[in-house]
Amino acid sequence: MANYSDIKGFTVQTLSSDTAASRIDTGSWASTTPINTARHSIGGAGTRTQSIMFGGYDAPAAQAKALTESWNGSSWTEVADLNTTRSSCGAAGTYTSAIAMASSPPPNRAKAETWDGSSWTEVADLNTPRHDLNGGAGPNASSAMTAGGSSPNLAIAEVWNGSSWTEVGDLNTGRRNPTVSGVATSALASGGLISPNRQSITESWNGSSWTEVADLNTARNSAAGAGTDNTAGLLFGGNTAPGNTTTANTEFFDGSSWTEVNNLATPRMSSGSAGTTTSAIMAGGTPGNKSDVEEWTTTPADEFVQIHEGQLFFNSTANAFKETITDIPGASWASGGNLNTTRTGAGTGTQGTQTAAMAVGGNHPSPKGGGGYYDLVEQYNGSSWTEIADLNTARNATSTTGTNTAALAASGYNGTANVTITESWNGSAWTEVNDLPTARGTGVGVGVQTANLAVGGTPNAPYAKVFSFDGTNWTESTALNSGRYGLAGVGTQTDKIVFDG
Amino acid sequence: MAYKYCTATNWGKNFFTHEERRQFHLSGHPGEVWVVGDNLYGDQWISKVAGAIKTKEEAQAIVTGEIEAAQAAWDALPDEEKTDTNPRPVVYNLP
Repeated sequence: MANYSDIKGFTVQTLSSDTAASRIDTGSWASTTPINTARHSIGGAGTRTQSIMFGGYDAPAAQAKALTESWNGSSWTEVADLNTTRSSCGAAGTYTSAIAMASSPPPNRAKAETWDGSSWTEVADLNTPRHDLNGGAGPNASSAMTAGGSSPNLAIAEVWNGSSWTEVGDLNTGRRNPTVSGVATSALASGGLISPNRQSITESWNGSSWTEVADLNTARNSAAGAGTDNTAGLLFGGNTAPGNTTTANTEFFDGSSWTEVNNLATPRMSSGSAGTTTSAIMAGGTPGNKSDVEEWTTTPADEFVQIHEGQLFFNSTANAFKETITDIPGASWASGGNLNTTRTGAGTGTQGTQTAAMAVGGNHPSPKGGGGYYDLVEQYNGSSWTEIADLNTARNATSTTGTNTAALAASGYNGTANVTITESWNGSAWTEVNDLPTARGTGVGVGVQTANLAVGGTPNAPYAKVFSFDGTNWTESTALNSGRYGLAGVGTQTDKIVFDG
Repeated sequence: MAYKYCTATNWGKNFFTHEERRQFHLSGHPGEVWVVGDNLYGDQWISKVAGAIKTKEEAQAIVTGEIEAAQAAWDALPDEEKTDTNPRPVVYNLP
């Protein structure tokens, strides 16, 4: 009888993006509208869809800039300038409430300005003049923090409360151009430069002290960053060692370790940035004077579907049917060396490998061949079979496990009855060890010589019992759901599958 | 991995999309040189951006020329601008 689904088909799930192991794995960088004025060493604040990029350095003109560009998600508009030109300043906040902290060139190294959505206002100076900063901790013009910088390798951190700066706990490692992200009570300072060495150090701020946590996979300075607190950070681009080259590398911090995720399209350092680990924007940078902008997005939480083997879905963004399968690279069977003695039933189980295996016992395939049951054992070396020491008891259908130097042959059929005999191979001779509790044949062995299972078989009817061997004794284990014989199996004593039969 | 090489001007939004970044390798280099994964999606992208196909040697020559020009500009900077946070550009090989 035909199934209804065979006739009418079935519904395929529609997803807006591919499935992935985690949300961050769905992230990628795409191009978006360039800023109006190419430059690097830019300060950034806000989100992917609403941000400001301010200050910077125009390399060909060799001058710091005061300009501010505002992003509404589709275009950049030049708005009110900073009161002073500045590059490599600390930067934090939102589209309408931001702060620019210290910077090059002198005399701006202690000066700060706040942004109210329409203009910049100079506020109280920092306690310690500094430059060579990247990012900063917000969340806004009334609460912010900066850490590190020059000169030469500052460890000092300062917190802004909307009216004054207070020196707080120092970084454990003073350095230039660490990438600071988060908020004044929960932040990260990642990477940096202690000339001439790029740093992979990441320090976590909990509101009172810095603690060194996991290192970046790629040491770098002058990277751009995004993140909301000390449990989530995204770091992208930067200048790496060796070779003093810029990178497109992007890494994600989950609160305990950094993982490489999809790269920027264009390597760069000293860009302006804003946003979070799931939605960020990066503008400008160097080498050269860059104006191009890339934006990072991940699949929204309510649309994210975790990857599972065997999914079939329609990706409405790519307009394509997709499946999640692991393709095994093209493979084929080729002939190997022939056994010296033709036989069937020469052991079933996880014994051996493609280039080192054994044929244990067996029987002649035809009564007319005059055969009977064999105690013969042959070893394979990847190209030819060699007869080795015989079993003590001739039989077929044993459950075999182990290697060519340490194997076990359990149970089997001796031409008259199933047997409980278990024999152990030490590389030169077979020795009888403790018998299986129940006689059987045509089961399967899974595991190694001293830790394996004898599964299924045929005492009389298909057999579901499973016995576990610890190197000395057999004990009964959890039975199969359905009795069977002539089955196959792979894995270890504690992690295996059996199939067929 | 096999690559193709082209030059194309990044016009901004949708020059390369998130979906395209997941479909093929793409990396941008000085001189508007793009290294593109050699598959169907990469070919479609080169067509979309009207990329001018280059050999690897031609693409490398463009990149090297751009970097050497940047090096000359850096060399002309006053010494106080030549800091290790403003490093001299380095010539590198395309993949």
